[in-house]
Amino acid sequence: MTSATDRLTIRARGLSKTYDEVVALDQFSLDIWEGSLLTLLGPSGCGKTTALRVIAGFEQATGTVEIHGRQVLGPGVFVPPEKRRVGMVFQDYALFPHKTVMGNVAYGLPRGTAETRVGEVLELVGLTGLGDRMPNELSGGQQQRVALARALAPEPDVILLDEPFSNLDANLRDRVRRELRLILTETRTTAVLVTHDQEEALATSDLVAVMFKGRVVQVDSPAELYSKPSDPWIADFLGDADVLTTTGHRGYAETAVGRFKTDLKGPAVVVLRPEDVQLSIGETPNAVVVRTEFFGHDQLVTIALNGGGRIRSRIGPRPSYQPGDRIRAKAIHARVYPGRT
Amino acid sequence: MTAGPLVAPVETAPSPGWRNRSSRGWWTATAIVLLPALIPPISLAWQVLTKGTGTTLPLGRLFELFVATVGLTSAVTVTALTLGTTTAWLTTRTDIPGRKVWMILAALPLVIPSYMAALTIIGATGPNGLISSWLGFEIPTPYGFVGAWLALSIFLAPMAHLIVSPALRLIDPATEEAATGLGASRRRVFFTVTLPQLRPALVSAGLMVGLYTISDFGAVSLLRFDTFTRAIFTLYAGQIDRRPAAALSLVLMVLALAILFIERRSRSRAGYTMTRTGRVRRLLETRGWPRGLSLGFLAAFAFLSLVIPISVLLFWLIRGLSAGIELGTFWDETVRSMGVSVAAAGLAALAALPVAMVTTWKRARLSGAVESATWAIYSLPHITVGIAVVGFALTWARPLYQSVLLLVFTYVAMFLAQSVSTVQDSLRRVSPVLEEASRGLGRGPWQTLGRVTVPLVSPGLAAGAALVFLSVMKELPATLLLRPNGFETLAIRIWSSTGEGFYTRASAASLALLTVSIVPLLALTYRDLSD
Repeated sequence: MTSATDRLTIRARGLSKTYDEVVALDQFSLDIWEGSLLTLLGPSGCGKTTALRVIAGFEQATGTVEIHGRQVLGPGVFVPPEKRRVGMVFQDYALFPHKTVMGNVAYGLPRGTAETRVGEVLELVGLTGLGDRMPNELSGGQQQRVALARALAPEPDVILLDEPFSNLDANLRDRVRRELRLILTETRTTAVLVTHDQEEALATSDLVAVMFKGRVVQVDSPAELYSKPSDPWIADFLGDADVLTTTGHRGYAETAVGRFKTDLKGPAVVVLRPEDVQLSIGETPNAVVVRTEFFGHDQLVTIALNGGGRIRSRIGPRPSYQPGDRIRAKAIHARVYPGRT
Repeated sequence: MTAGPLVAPVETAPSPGWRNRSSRGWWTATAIVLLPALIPPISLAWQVLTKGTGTTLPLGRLFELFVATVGLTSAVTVTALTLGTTTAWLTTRTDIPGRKVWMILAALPLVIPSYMAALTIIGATGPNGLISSWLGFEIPTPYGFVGAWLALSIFLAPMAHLIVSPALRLIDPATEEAATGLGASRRRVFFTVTLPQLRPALVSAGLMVGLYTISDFGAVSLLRFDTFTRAIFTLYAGQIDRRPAAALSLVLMVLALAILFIERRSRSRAGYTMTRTGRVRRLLETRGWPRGLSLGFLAAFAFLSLVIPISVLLFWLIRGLSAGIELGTFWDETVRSMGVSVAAAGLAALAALPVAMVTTWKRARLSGAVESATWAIYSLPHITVGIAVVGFALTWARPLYQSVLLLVFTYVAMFLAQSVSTVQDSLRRVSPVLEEASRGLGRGPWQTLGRVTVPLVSPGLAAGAALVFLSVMKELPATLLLRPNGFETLAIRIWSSTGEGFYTRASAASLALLTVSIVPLLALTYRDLSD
């Protein structure tokens, strides 16, 4: 084995699975590096939970999965979930309702060593003193932490989290997410998180793998992914994006809000993030304000370009524009993709 | 779920909205429903305490009856729970072929009342029995403990099956996966995660089977095993002094209430309400001998509980007809059975509404007491209710004695809990917000009741009525004591014909009873499967 594969915790290749003719996984491949937090991001029904369950061993699929170089799934190979050293945090936590917090956390530990380890893990997740509670006596956030503690206790090679924040209300979610990130970093745990919430993915992860129709379409760091999505669909999925059609010509794609470098020749689409579109008054106006939405820390201004097309601009709370104002719009950054012919 | 009405009450989930509604009317209605139902048992206690027990009951005899009753109850409970849990597990968790069909077949024997079960055992064995004629040599009829144990175990196992199946379905499959993911073997998962989560269902099933067994009158009478119920009836029928029967009834009532009390105390504080729906469960794949063994078990159970009884009934009917035995018609009996059943079912559904309302309100102080009272009445053995009602009518309500009206009211009181629990089940699924929305849109409480609440709980009302109908059709001991002279129902006809050895007549009446029961049963089963 090379030193590169030593650091590879999970290596999934060509996973495919169909349920009653519905494709859940289609040649799904992914590498997960030791100590990193990777998020599988995709719209609902794209197969991300299935991918997680195949890695954990709760589902069968064709293809191969290796954990730390050991094949756990492959032709003629199937290591059952209890022998994979994979921790799973379920969407609704799946706490054992008949066991105390301590009983839940100790479940995966060998008898004898359990007590000290349970104490350690409960301290880690900030639940010291709640060991004797029953799951139904805990708040949603606390239940989530018990589920995390239970998965962490046996020190698995990797932790898989299936939509772990979806059952928490919005203000609690941000806090729990930060805590989770801290705990995982502190314990240097390798983790895979599944979500359909792009903000959650971008804010939490080292790497984001975007999934669509059963396959991974792009893997990158959050910043790279956001600024350099590999196609307009991903751009739109990750955040606000507007599209202008144009043509590539002599190394540039020309639009009403600026010209952008490209090697493309012929039809092209230019994808603009609202925060990359700047507005000014005076100079020669090239657009008219259609509507403004005010959010406090910023505002979103929708404008109609004189040459046709509508785009949005995210700017600071001032100045305030009125519908009908004639303004000049300029994009400082854009991505150019081949257009439909 | 058909299990709803069979299961003992479950703690109400918090639903704060229910608290705020104007409730005085509902409490009054509940009192009107419940207080009359409580009077006969209380009057029985009062009569026994003030008038004495009549001829003294020898303590030795009392002890004998106690041992026989408790022994039979324990044996039947263990056997029926084991059988029922096995059929439930096989039909909800494995991928055996024809799973849904087996699921229904395992529940079906519940329509067969205990006296009919006893009739088929008697009809299958002995010198002229069906099995004896199949085998070519005589199988002795298992009178006494063995017969009663067999009859009740086989025909009560479906009750356990019906209570345990939904519980198995409700266990969050992710808890089992979580255990597997934490390194537990399949065996360990079953014993540490699955079984403990089944405990409330098993306790409920044990309670229902246990109560049914100590109350059973038909099977132990026909199979001649002396338990409290048989002794009570013998005393009642054989003596002019009714006090010994009343005293013995009081003892049996206390025993039943003790079982109910023990069950309620044995619930732990663990919240078993953490189940979630919407997750797909993978069925356990079976191949080779485990699959063969599972199918063999289910087939054997269906053979014993369905094929044999039906064959015996048809066998006696055909044998009797070909021997030229005059059957007579069962038209009058059928009409009477259906008449009282329909009346009791309708009234029970109506009466259930206020009781279910006040018991679904969270934290209403009296609702716990109302709930307990409903179940306490339900748990009283029917023969003791019969004795109590007779005593009450003779002492204080002479004109009602041996009237159809009193009979129907007694049925409603005895089976009210069944309709209450199905209505509660429906009510809990109705979001209180809907009623608030109706009030907010300018509808008064009555209009809201008529336009929102009742339509939404109508499935529960219908299911409750169907269950009460089935129960009344089968009811024997209270009917025996309370019916007007000459008021023969199908159940009475089966019982008296069997006792006198007229198996042809008994089997014809049995087939009539099963036929009438089948429509409401299918309706309930269908609801169950589509749930």
